[in-house]
Amino acid sequence: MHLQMRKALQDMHNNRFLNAVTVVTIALAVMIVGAFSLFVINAGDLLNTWRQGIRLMVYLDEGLSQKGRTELEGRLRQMPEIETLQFISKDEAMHRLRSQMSRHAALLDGLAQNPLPEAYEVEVRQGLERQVEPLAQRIEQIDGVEEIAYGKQWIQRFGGLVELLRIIGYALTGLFSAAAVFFVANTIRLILYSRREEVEIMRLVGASERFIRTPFYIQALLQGAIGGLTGIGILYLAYLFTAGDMAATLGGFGFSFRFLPWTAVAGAVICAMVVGWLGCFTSLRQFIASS
Amino acid sequence: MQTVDQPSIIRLFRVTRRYGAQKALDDISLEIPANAFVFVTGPSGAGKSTLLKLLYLGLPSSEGQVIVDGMNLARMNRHRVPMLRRRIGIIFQDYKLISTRSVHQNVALVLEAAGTPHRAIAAKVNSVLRTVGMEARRDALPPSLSGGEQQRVAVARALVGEPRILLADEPTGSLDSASAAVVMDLILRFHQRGGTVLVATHDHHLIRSVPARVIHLVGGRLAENPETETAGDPLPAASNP
Repeated sequence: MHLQMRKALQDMHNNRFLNAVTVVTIALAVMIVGAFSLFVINAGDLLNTWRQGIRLMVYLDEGLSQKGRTELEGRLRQMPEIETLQFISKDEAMHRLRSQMSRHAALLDGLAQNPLPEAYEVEVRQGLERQVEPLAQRIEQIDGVEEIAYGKQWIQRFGGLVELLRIIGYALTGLFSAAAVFFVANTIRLILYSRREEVEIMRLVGASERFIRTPFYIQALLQGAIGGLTGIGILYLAYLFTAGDMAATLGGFGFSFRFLPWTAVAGAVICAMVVGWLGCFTSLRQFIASS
Repeated sequence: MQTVDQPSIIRLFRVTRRYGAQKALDDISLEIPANAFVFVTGPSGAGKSTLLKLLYLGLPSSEGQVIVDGMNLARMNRHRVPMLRRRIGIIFQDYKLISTRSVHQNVALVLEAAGTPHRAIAAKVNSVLRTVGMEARRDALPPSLSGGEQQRVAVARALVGEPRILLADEPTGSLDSASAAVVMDLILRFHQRGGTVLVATHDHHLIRSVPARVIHLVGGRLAENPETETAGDPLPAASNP
């Protein structure tokens, strides 16, 4: 194997340009697919963070009596999806609105009476975030409930976008993998044809097909590994440069921007090596068939 | 020089080889005992090279049986072809050396392909290069060598794996008489150590230089008087390299 490895490295050195083109192609493919994965993973995390922090505002009818409110609260407390329940009086609601409006709070001074309804702020139990919609529908049926508000549409749209990007990511993975296989196959094919006579002589002196092919496979696997590591390396550098800004922007949501997990990194490098192997396999099969 | 009553190491039974409709070899049957020295001769296109190619499976026979060192080549799985070729040393008229590898690497290739340990390779290659007088040029690339030197490297490559059979296709065809004598001397020494030699040539001086059996081919068939023996009249300028 030592001899075969030496031969593979020698070939890579002798065909530096072709190998560099192949490595760059694999690196680009890994980088683009990796960037998509990075975005999808983090967007998924962000979505989960939002889902976990999801709160329903249950606005009550204007004329609901104290007894009606007690009954309503009792029914809400019986619902297993609800983690916490907090009553927001009209005054509390106004106080919160003033805090949110800060400098513009003076606009509220001119109101003759408090128009804000009483409400319950409902926090959904962890792990049951996806039950928000049916829960909201059930609460809406209870007497005394005027309206329910939560970021339903926004979360659905964002979730849909993440899902769409995930699918685009799969398509890009397939597309770039095919391109990389094509490049590796052509590199190996060109090297093979330039060494056609040498391969023929090796056969004449008793070299087995395995002996002849192994350096090419080693070369292709090395191309894949180097391309994969280069692509991931560049992506990591880009991550380091942008992570600070992302943290500043999204930190307020309790979300931390993270790099690909090590399993994904290992997977990307292994996939790049498989791509190299496939390219080599394709061109060797054609070469053997034609010689 | 031929040992009598040796078992046959090469057998051809009614062998035909076609290229399309044309027969390059037609119904050839012959036996060559171990340790024989045989010239295969005949005019151009007689089928000399084709006969040699059949023996190392450079070509398959179209009909008939070819048995080399106990292996029936007609039934041989292609994965076993390298094993056959490791038992045979082959010398070509155009040397067939890898131009990008040094003399040492060209010769070492045979042993590397056979899985010989690295240390043993260096020792064996140096020894055989010394035998053919090319030790001083071990790092040279083939294009920088003369024709005679390249053929000596080719002989070294053919011998380093200690084959039982040596096939030489016009081994001196591109050489001057002095280089031809050196190459033939190396082939003879292999034969004297017990090896079987088949040389395809149409060079009558070469044929007369070695006491050997001579097989005549004409138009792909054995000639009417197919076999003669030569007495051996060494080529001029033959000297140890």
